[in-house]
Amino acid sequence: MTSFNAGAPATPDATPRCSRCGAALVLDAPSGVCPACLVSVHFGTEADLSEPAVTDKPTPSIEEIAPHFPNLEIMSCLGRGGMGVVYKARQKALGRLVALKLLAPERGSDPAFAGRFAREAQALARLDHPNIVTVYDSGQAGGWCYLLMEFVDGVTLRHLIHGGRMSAREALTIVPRICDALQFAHDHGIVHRDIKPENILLDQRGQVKVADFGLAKLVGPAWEAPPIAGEPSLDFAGDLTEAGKIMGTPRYMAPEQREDPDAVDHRADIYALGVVLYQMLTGELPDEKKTPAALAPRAAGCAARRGRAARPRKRPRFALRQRDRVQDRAGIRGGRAASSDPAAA
Amino acid sequence: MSHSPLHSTPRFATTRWSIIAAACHGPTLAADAALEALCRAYWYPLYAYVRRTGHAPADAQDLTQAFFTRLLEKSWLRDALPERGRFRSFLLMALKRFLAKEWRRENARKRGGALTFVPLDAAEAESRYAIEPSLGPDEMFERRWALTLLDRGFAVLAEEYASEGRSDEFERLRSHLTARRDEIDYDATASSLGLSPGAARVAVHRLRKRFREVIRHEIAETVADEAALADELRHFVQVLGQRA
Repeated sequence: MTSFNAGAPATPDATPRCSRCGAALVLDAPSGVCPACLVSVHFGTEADLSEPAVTDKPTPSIEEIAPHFPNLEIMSCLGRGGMGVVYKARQKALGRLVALKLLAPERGSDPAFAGRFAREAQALARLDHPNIVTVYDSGQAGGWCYLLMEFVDGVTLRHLIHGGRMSAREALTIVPRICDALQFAHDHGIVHRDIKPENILLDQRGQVKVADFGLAKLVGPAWEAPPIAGEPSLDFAGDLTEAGKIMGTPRYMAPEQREDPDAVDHRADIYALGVVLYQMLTGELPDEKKTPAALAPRAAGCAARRGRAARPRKRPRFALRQRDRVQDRAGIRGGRAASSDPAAA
Repeated sequence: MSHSPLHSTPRFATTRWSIIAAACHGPTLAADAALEALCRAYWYPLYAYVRRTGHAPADAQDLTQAFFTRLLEKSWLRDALPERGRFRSFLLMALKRFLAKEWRRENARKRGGALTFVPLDAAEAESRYAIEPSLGPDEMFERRWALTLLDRGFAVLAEEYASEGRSDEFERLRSHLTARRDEIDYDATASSLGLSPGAARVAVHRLRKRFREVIRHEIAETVADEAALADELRHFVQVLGQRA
């Protein structure tokens, strides 16, 4: 005989409830978490249920590339972006983890590209700075141009911004380090040209590392990163190409960069950083139709706005000056604690 | 450059259920091992189903054990064809067929009672069953299946953190798994963990991302292809999305 009510809790009022949704908790659910909230947060929409397609460009398999890099143990493919495909690898002799980037694999056989790549790689190798992803080696193998780089065991700023907008204090511990990296590169005559959250990494200690210096000039506009599974995508306004793919990162591009990409200087990076700072503080990309005052702390928001001036000469002239401006506005220069907070703005 | 795995789900040629389903012309050692591993993981939803169809605890234990014995010993794949896409469907259908036959024969004890392929803990099973909500047998099975899967996901995470000596971090961060992104107080989390705000944000992000990967992986172990994974994930969300 079937008894559907057998075993129902005798004292329903004593049943533990989810502090978030108020539903009765399943008593032996994993560690008292609410399964309904769990799936709603992580697999909430149809779009979140399938793995995001990174790109339909071909990605060389590990088996395909391994014979061309005998000194490396290729461990996994980390991702495919506009600049190329990145693999996690281990240097057999040193036991050191590295990131192997195959640049634009489909262009490896282009001699002109290979020549430009060799020159750019030499410049990148000179960027020895604690906030810049170090380039260990470069060359050509198996028809691919490659960079062997420092492996950063962390996540991109883009992922972190998806985790919710940042407090001014949090953002302003990150931005000065990006400014330091940019100033160092600019002093060496290298403009990043593609500063955006995807190219800013934080390791597990919160150390900031800027990646892909100068590669945008070499490879061309980057592919916009795909949505993150389980995390609603931000409102990126990418351009659609004839192939239907979102190309480039126009919302981070300085106006002069869109009009004449070959003529940009370091101030294009300062503009892009202004957009990134705005996004960190508000969780959104700048939209002229919206007033950011309600979201952005006034002081830091001002620095973000100044960095995004349409005319290059209106922006802070140097990355270091932008760093000092950010820190001054937020009151953290010289070790003083930040008092600027969204809640108080 | 994003340092996260591109593919979090296993290759389907090597998932446990695909190995089982591929052995259609006769069981192989690998298929037997895979089937046994899955049965060990998902025995309780079946037990709860048998109980909810009206069998007393002792009978339910014998019937469930006998079912596993038959499944592991005999021509289990012959019956699997229509439901080859997913282990969950196959298992429930096979159990229903088995119960229909056994009910008529009324000889469950003779057929399998003494064998212990799957570790049925009678006391544990009954204590869990006592707090089950009032659902019908099929709904009970589906909900228990999904919760078992979730449980396995948490166990994997706990084990991974423990292996790195970070169990305390996992315990402090796990509550953030049910929070929406804008509900997390990263400054407080940073203080709690003794990390910088940036590092705390990295830690929360990595746990949340890994949780999704682990769940996807666990589900993938019970299906044979990408389409079935998407369907099964949808089913998982639907079942658990219904608040008790």
